[in-house]
Amino acid sequence: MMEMLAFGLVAGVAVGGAIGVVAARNVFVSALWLVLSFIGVAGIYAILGADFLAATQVLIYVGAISVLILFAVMLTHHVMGDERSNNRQAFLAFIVSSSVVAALGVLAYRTDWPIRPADAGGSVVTAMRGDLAGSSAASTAAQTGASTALTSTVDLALNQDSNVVRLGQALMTEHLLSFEIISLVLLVALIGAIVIARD
Amino acid sequence: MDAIELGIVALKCLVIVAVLLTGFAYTTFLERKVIARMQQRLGPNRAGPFGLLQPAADGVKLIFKENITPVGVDRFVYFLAPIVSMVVAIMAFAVMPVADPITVTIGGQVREIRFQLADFNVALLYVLGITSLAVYGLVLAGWASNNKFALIGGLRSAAQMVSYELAMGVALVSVVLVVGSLSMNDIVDWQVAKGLPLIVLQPVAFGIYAITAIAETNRAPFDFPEAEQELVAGYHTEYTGMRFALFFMAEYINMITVSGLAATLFLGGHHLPFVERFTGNLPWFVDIGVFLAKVILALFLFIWIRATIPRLRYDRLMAFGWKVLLPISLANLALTAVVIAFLAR
Amino acid sequence: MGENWAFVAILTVIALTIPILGILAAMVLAPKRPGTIKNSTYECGLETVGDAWVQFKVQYYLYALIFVLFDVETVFLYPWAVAYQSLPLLALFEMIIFLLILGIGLVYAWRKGALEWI
Repeated sequence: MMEMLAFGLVAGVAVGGAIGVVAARNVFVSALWLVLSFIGVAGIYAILGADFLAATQVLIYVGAISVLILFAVMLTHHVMGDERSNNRQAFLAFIVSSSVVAALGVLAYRTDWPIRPADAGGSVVTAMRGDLAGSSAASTAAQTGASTALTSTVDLALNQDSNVVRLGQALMTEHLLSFEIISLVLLVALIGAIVIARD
Repeated sequence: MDAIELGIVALKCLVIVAVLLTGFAYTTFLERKVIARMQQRLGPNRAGPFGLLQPAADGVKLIFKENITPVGVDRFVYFLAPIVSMVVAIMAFAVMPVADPITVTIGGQVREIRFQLADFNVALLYVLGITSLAVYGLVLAGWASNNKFALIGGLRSAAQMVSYELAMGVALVSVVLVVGSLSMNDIVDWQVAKGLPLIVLQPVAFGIYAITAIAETNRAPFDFPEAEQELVAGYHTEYTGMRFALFFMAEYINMITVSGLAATLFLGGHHLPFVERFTGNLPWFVDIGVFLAKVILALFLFIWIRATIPRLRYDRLMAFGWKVLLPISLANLALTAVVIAFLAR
Repeated sequence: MGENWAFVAILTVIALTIPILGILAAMVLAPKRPGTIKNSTYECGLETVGDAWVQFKVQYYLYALIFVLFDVETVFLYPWAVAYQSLPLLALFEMIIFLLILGIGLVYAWRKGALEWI
């Protein structure tokens, strides 16, 4: 009961933040709503017992990627004043984003989720995936390298019951290849970013 | 979780907030007194005996100061910024263990009371995550103020904080590597069990932590918000009265938190690792005193450094973070890993 | 484990009330005498020139970007560090390869001048 209540609260924060991103009239304020949405997602991880993932979500998404987005907004837009964030591409964007949501929904519904034997309901896990997808779709500006790296830890932490030791062991043994590839992905992202920013 | 436990938790939260606020007030007092003495002055000495009531007088003054809201600010974000700063500063303290747990009997039931709010497995990452949010207070204030100084000051402080956060994160990995846990209690217990504080084993990590902690809290010599020659008052240029005081409080509470973290991670926390071999485990009130003494020592260092070292130039500051601290902390990590691999096995 | 988050949530609520109470108390108690000059944006006593928005250097963004990448790296270091003493010696070399690849990135950024403040 308490768990459902807490879930409702953090899910509300995540979804409310996501709505705020779309509804805000100022891009900077949109980015702030995105931060709130990320915090909500961290709360969902916390409820699921994935402490490491919750802390990481705050550290990476809230503390790093959102700062990057804010910097990007401050560099490219007029800092104060309202401006409409939708333009002629709004309809096209609606079609694309709703088909992404539909595809993810179908995927989430059809997948056979590993459910912890105790109390965590399947619906909670499914909803978590939905929120994760929603928030990452909203943050197209976020680093692709970083998101790939993080989604791969999602699977691990759920299977390993958030035990950091076992997470480390899994990274170093069965997921070693992906672990080393992550560093390559990060390197490519770094070089790409520097090349683009320099020219 | 029953009603009594909920009451205990609420009480703990209130105690944390009350202690942090009192700590803030008397850290400002300590700072003014110590710096005054270092500069051959007397410092505040009028309000109460030895000026001890000065913080209270300052608090009353700040509440009764007029709050000027300049034209053109984004009102919502303008008010949000100091609140974010304060909340983040208070929350980071939640995982700090202050003394050994005690057992008491309340209403016929034996209960264990921990002198720590939340005992996470991932406490260290929690602290890093929360402190990484401190950057929002600055960015929001800078953006909402509609002032060039505030905006540039906010951006500079933000870039400074993220740069030094990186070196801090890597430096703390070597601590985790030695201990093998992210939990605050595990780290403290490890130091007690081995009988020596981690500062002895990881002096480089401690040095980097100390430098980055000063930068993270925006203190001298990295205090760009107060670089008045170039940025007036940085991100809080347009804040007055109580709203300014909130930023001020957040800065000092952050100082207390990073000092507490230094005490926990490097100095043996609320224990005296070497001494307790001879005395045995000390009672809880001595624990609190030990922890407090270590925090005050670290705060004194903060103040001493402020009185001694002049402010860096901004390009030097960024270069120092990226080209000196980060490579050193990475090298320290690699060295630690190699040493552990060949010694501990 | 879950109750720890509940404790933190309670602390958050209390931590939120303190600054809000402070601001509200100051609103009630402090004098209010606004004026056009007093409420104008501070610019060293001069009339404000143009927008508060000024063009920023791309440098800020570059720093933030490199920070994100290395922050992700740091997060991977933590589980490795926790598990390190229970892993075979191979883990050392695995991590050194990981660090070397990212070290190349740092050297690249350094050589390309992405870390210079111009």
